[in-house]
Amino acid sequence: MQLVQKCSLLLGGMMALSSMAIGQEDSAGYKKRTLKGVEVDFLVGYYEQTGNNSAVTGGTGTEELTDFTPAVVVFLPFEKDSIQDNWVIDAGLDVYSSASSDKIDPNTISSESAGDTRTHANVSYRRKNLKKLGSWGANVSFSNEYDYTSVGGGLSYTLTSKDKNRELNLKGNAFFDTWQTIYPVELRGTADLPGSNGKNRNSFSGTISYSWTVSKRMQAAVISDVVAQNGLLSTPYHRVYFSDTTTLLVEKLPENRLKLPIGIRANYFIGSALVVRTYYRYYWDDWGLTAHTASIELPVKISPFFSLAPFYRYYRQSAVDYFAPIHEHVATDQFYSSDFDLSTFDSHYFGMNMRISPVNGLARFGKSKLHALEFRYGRYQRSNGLDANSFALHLKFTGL
Amino acid sequence: MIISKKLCLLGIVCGLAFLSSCASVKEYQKAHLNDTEMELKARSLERFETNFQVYREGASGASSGKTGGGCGCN
Repeated sequence: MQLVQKCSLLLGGMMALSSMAIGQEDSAGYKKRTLKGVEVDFLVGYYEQTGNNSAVTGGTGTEELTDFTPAVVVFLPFEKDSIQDNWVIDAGLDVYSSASSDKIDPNTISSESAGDTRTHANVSYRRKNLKKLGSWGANVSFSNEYDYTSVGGGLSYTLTSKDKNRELNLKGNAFFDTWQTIYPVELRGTADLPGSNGKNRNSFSGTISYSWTVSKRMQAAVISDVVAQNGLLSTPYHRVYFSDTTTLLVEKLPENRLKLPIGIRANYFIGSALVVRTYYRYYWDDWGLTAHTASIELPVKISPFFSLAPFYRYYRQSAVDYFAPIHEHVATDQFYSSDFDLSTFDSHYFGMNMRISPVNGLARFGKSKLHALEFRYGRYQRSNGLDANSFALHLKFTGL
Repeated sequence: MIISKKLCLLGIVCGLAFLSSCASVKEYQKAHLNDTEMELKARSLERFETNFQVYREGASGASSGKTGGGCGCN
């Protein structure tokens, strides 16, 4: 009930802000707002992974998982005089099956935990006065799956320089999540497990980004987040087996976490057909995890309407202070986890992106047209044995 | 530890050099900068890989992707 109230409050606030702004304009005399060029994006992703370090079974056991993720994004731009109002509605599903989740209660064959559907939606609004340099926006989000619900909202402000060569963006977001705690079957009824007193997880993030034009062929951006989380940050059905006792417990992690990532993007257009897209991120958090991420993508424009972009991403992280593999924690540890997503590893992700976007579109459907088609495949390999494939398709329709 | 400090310092110096090198490029000179492939953000399709990377890796953020909300426990 609290979640519904929070969600209603966020959405209501956003609508009120929007109507206030519209009301101010209308006081000078009513003028019809014109809907300009609606765009609809259809996106479909498919992800599959294999591995043998499932946290559900204490850091050992199958991690097989598939995830089918259709989504639709609708862009609704309105314009009246010098005022632009942009609404974006983004909604989708995650339909997944997980072999490890089925081990929460291995006595139940094909239990509900073997698969789930997550629904998610995000509505964002941005208002820009073309006579001014600043614009502001707001968003609300909601997601729900069998044992987890999240509502969120945020505000943003963008300031652009007069010559449009520099841009500063400030953004604040808050997410209020609630678990329906599900414990491994053999621990159900045990007192004082993590999550038995509090089932909420709150995340607050502030983002500052600055982008600028370096030359006629190069532009760059620096992005930095500060993320503070509190509440139940462990997963209640991750088992932990100890070295000095046969007692089984579930993962226990601190109830606060501070994350500080900073990233830089730089894109350079070489000659008439090659673009170099680069990205680097350094990450630090107060659980002891540091990470480096570096990626490069090289879009080659085979023609003005067709490009192929091979990409490569390297990632390396150190373990959190509370991680140890199966049978290596001792019962006196204050916090413990055998989740290999929090262990030391590096990973390689590589693949190809293909984009087709003819000037007149790929196909017409009445007044609308299929404007662009994009396909992306990536292969992910982690040094501790987890492998994955990711397929994604994007169809962009315009003029609806 | 000393190496990482040096890397940080190098990053800051490079960052300051970049910040001081903003050019005033006119709108009619931005044909290359306005190309779709030059956008200073992740592609729409990258949302799917950002999604699984947030779940499979300990680090997240600073990439205009998700920084909170949702479980991702499997």
